[in-house]
Amino acid sequence: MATLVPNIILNAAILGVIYGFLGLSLTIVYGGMRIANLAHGDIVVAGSFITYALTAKFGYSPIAALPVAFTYLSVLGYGLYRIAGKRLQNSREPELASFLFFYGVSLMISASLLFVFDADARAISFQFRPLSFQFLGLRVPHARLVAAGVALALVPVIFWALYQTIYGKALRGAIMNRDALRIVGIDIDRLSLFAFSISFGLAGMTGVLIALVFPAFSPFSGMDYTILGFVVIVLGGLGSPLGALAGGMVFALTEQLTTLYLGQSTGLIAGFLVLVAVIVVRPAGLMGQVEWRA
Amino acid sequence: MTELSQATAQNTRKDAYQSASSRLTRSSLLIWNATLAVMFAVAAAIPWASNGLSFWFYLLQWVTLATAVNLVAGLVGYLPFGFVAFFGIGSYAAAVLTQFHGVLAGWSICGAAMAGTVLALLFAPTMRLSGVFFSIVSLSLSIVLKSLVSILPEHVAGGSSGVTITAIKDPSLAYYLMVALCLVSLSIATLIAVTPYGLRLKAIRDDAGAAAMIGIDVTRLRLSVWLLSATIASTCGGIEALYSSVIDPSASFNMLISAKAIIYAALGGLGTVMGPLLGALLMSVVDELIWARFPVANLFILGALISLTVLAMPKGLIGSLLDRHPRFRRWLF
Amino acid sequence: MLRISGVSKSFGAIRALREISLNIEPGEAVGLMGVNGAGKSTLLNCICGLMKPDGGAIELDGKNIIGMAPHRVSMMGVGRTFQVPRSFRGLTVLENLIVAPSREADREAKADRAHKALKRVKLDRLASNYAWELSGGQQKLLELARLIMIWPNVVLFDEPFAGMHSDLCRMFIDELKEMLQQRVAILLVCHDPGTLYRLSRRIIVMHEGGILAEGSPEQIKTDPKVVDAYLGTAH
Repeated sequence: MATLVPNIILNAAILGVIYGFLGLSLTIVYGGMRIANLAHGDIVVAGSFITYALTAKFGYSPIAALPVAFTYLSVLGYGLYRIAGKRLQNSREPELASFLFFYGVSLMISASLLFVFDADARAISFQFRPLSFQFLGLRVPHARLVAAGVALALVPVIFWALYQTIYGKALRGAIMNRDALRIVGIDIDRLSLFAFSISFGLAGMTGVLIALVFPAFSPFSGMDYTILGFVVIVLGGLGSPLGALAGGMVFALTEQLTTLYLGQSTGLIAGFLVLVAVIVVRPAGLMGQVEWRA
Repeated sequence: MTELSQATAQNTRKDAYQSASSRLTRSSLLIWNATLAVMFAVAAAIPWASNGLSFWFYLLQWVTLATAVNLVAGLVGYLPFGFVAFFGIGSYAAAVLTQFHGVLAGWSICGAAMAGTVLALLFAPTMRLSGVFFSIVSLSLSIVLKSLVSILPEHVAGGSSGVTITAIKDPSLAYYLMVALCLVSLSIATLIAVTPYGLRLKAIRDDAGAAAMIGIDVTRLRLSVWLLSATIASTCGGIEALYSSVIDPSASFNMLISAKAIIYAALGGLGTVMGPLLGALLMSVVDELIWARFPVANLFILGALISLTVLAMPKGLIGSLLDRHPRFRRWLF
Repeated sequence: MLRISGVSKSFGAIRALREISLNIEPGEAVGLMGVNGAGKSTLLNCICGLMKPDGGAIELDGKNIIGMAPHRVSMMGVGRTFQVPRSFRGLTVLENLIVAPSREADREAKADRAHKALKRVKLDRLASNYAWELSGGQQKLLELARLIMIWPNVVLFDEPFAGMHSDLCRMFIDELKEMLQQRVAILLVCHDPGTLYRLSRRIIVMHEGGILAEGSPEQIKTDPKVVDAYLGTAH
C-alpha cells in the first residue's frame, strides 16, 4: 500500500490532465457559443484512431500523430461550423438544437470509424524503449510519461493563447458576455469559427494522449468521453479554462483513490457523487463565476 | 408582421370566447381525440393481425417515453440526460417484485410506478439547477444508480448479470399494458395542453421569474410535472421488463434511452402534444427501414438524418410548422 | 400600504442596499431615481421576493413579506414590470394574460377581461400571435396589459419608458394615471428626471445603495447633493 498510494496519485495526476484537456476543448465551444458539442468524445476517439493508423499501419511514433490529428480534426471542425454553426447559434434554443445536431454528428463519426476500423477494440502497437522508468521506487510506463510530458507542454501554450493573444482574450470575453463583444466590434463569427476549429483540433490531440494512456478504445467509446468532458467542466465551472483542469484533477483523483480503497466498480460512483456534492454546495462549480441560466 | 396580424385578427375574438385557455377550436380537439381513438383501436387489434408484436410494442414504448420526457423538457424546460434512471428503476422494481417476491404482474407494475415517484422525489432538489448543470447532474445520478444496482448482491437485484423473469411469461399482457400506458400518457399530455395548468407550465419554461411575479407557484408546479413524468417513465420500464423478461443494469440504464426519448420528442416538436407522438412514430419507422435497407451505413444515415432535420427545422416538425404557418395554430398543438 | 424600513443587502463585498426606508400610500406614485448600480433594481427584487434582504423589514398592509416566495408576494397584490420586458415567448398574447392565476372560476369571464385589457393597450388585434412575434415596444405593452389584468394594489415599474416610442409612452402614462385614480400604490423607477417630475409628487434619489435625498420635485431639482452626484453629470 505504501508505494501504491504515490503511484495512484501520479496516475491520477496524468489522468487528471487528460480529463482536464477533455473539458478544456469542450468549454471553449460551450462557454463561448452555447453549443453543446455532443460529438466531442467521438472527435477524441477519432484522434485515437488516427494514432492507431499512423503507428500500426505506417510505423510512426505516436508523437507524429499529434500534428496530424490536430490538422485533420480542426479541418473537420471548420467544416462543421461552416455548415451548421451560425444556424445553431441563431436558433432560439441553441443548447437543444446543438445537442441534437451533434448527436447526429456523433453517430456519423462513430459509423465512419466503424466502417474503416471495424468494431473491435484497438490499442496502439508502438512501444517506447525502455518500456518503463524506475524512479523514487515508482515504476512509470514510458508511454504515460510521454503523454504527461506532452500535456504539460501543451498547457502553458494553451493558456498563453487564451490569456495573452488577442483571439484568446476575445474568446474569454465571449464566454463572459457575448453581446458586449458585438458592441465593441469584434467579428463574432470569425472568432467562433476559429474557436471551433481549435476546439476540435485540441480534442483530436486529447485522443492521441488517450491512445497512449488507456489500453484500448473502440468506435463506440465516444459517448463516455463526452460525458466525462461535460462532467469535468460542470465540476470546474463552465467557461473557466483553469476550472476545467481543476475539475479534471479532482475527478481523476477521486476516481483513482476510491478504486484503490473500495474496488473497481465504486470509482466512477465516487467521481459522480463528488460532482453532485460540489454542484449542490457551489452551483457555479469549483471556479465558475456565475450560475448559468438555461 | 402586419400580414400576420390581419390574417389572425378576425379569428381572434371568436377564439377568445370559444376556449378561454387555449387557441384551439373545439373541432380541432374533436379531430385529435378521434385520431387517438382510431390509433388505439388499431393498436389493440395488432396482436391478431401481426406476428411481429415486438416492433409495435417498442413503437408504443417510444411514444410513451417521448411524451413523458416532453412534459419535463418541453413544458418546464429541463433536459434530463439521466431520464433513463426512472425507466431503469421501474424495470428493476417490476422484475425483482415478480421474480424474487412472487408478486403478480399488475401489482409489480404499481410497484414500478411507485419506485419512479419515490426516486423523482429524491432527485427533486436537482431542479434548483438549470441548463447544462441540471442535465449533467441528472446524467451522473443515473450512472451512479446503474453502478449501485449492479453492485447489489445477486439475491437482491441480480447483480451485474441482471434478472431473468421466469415467474410470468405473457408478452401479450405486457403489450396491452403498454397500449394502456401510452393512451394514458397521451391523454395526460392533451389534458395539460388544454387546461390552465399547461399554460402555467409553459410560462415557467419561458421565464420562471416572471411567472412567479404573476402569482404562479413555480416550485410546486415544476415538482408536480416532474413526478408525473418520472412515474410514467418508471411504469414504462416496468412493463418493458415484463415484456422482454430479461433485464440487466447496462440495458435498463442505457443512456441511449434518455437520448432517444429526447431526440424523438425534439424532432417532432418539444412543448407540443402531437410532436413527440409524430417524432416517435416517424423515427421508429425510419429506424426500422434504414436498418433493413442499409445494413452497413445505417448509423451514418440515421445520424445525417437527425442533423439535417435539426438544421432545417430547429423546433421540430410541429414546432416549425406552427412558427411558419400561423393558420395551423388552431389545429395543431 | 407598503412600508420598507432599514433594508440592507450585500453581494460579497458590495453593499447594494444600505438601510433603505420608504413608504408608499395608496394612490401615490413614488419616484425612484439613481445612476446605474445605485441599487434600484435590487430594491425592487427584494420587495417582490426574488431576492432576500440581509436585514430590515418590508411590510404590506402591516404584514411582513420578507422571506415569502415571489408568487405569494404576488398573490398579496404586488405586481411589477421589468426593465427588459419579460413576456412568455412561447404563449400567445392572449395566453400571456390568462395564464395568471385568479379566483374567478368562469373561464369565459376571464378571457373577456383579458380581451378588454389587450384592447386598452391596443394589442387586441395580435391576441392570437405568439409573444415572440411582437416588437420590443409591444412586449412592454403586453407587460402593462398583464398588470391591468391582475390589477395589483402595489405596482413596481422598472424603467417603463426606456427605449419606448413617444406614442406608446403616452399610453403608458395614461394607464399609470388611471391606476393612481383607482388608489393603486406605485413605485416608479426611472432614469429620466423630467418624466419623474411630471408623474410623482415624491421622489427618492438613490446613490451607492443608500438614499441620497428625498422630497418633492422642486426640492430634488435644487438639492445640491443630487445635482452633484446625479444631475450634474448626467445632464
